Amino acid sequence: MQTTNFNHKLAAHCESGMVTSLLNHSGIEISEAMVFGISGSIFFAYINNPMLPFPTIALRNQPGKIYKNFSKHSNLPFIKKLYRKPAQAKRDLDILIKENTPAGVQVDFFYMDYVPEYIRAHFNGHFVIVVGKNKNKYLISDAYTPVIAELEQDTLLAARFTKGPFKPKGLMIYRNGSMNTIDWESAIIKGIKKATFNMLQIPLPFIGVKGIRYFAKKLPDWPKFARDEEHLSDEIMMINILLEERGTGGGGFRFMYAAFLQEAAKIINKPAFNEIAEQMMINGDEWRLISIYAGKIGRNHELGQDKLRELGTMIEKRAEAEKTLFTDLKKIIS
Amino acid sequence: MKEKDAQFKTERKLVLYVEKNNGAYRPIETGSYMIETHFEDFLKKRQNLKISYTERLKKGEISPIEYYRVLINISIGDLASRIGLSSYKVKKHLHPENFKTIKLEILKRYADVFRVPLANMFQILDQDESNHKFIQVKSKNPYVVTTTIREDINADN
Repeated sequence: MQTTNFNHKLAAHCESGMVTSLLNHSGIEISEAMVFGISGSIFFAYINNPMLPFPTIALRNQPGKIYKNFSKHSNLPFIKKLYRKPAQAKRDLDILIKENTPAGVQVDFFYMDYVPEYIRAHFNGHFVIVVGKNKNKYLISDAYTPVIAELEQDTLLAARFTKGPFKPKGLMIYRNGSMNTIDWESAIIKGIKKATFNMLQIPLPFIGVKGIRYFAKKLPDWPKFARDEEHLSDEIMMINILLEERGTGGGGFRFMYAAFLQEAAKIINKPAFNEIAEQMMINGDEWRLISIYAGKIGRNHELGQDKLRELGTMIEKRAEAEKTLFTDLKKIIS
Repeated sequence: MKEKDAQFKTERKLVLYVEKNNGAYRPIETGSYMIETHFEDFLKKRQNLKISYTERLKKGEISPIEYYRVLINISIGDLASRIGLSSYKVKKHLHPENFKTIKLEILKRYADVFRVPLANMFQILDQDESNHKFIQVKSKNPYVVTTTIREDINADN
């Protein structure tokens, strides 16, 4: 068995967890909240397109942007490889493991056989770290599992080369041992600029603060997309899962973003961030209430227009709150 | 969210960011609220869906493609993209009368996306309530699987 003596731990989110763990392993002390904040990945989008089985929401920007933007904003580089040939991807990964270098890979979550079957879904935007090999099985550090897992090498290879939206193309990232120092102020400001741009300035009706309003408005239309009442019930309850269970740190990433702002306030001596952090935490609490309400009406099959509009009204208030929050944040850094 | 309000006791763990007693926002490991409160309902819905769609498959109302597509909750567009066909063609394959026109090589692609053996596109593994379960083992031939029935030593007596 080959291992890289990796210190595995649970994380709030797979991609930010992967980046944090790789940095920590290479000797850079940084929290997951900082990685998430510096990457500017807090986001909102309401998505309804043929690639999805049902309308849904995204609470962070697209997969792959956390490591990319973090690296750009912090000047801490990763080596990134993409592959056309699976055999070459496997060969290079095996070489890294032999050299005691853990490597992050992008995979389709449906192939992660170590998680319960009821959780697995086709989603090409999952990230794990390969930290060793035991005969024909790779040792996987997955942010969503409490211990290092094992995965058949053929299964991992298949997961790295699936087709479909956000296909991984064998993506692998790792650190090459080069240490750069972080200019914290520059990195934090860049991350916040990215976040405020995402939430306030993208001129599309289904993105950012506008996207939250759009979601509130479209929710009463959901019955027409469902097969039957049970399917609608499931999809309403999915709002709870998306906000709380699918790796957000709670409150649709808003709690983790509050932690980032609080930490940033201390690191670069900007006490003004503390007030926004507090408001962001309260905002996260309100999102959590939305998720609990969605879980309740979904489970009880209280799916009439009155309940959906009530849920919509709760969501609409988040749009107002986040417009204020991100506008105030933008003013602080300008 | 205060730390005291984030204590959920489930086997599945996740990380939540909470406000500690000293006002610091930090991550903690805790259980899952969803599993604690709604897990049985979630599993019941999955089971009902499987029962209902198995009946539709047996009655010839849907093809095995539609059966697995709904059970793993993948859209027609995503499925088409993964197997390299147009959405129009995949839509046709959802109907039982068109299932027989699918070439074996394409059917294998569907089976691979669904992560079931090709043989399972032509059969239903009917798990009864005894302490036995189906074990399906791949062979070197990608179109052939060995299916055996073994006693489930982990099942409750």
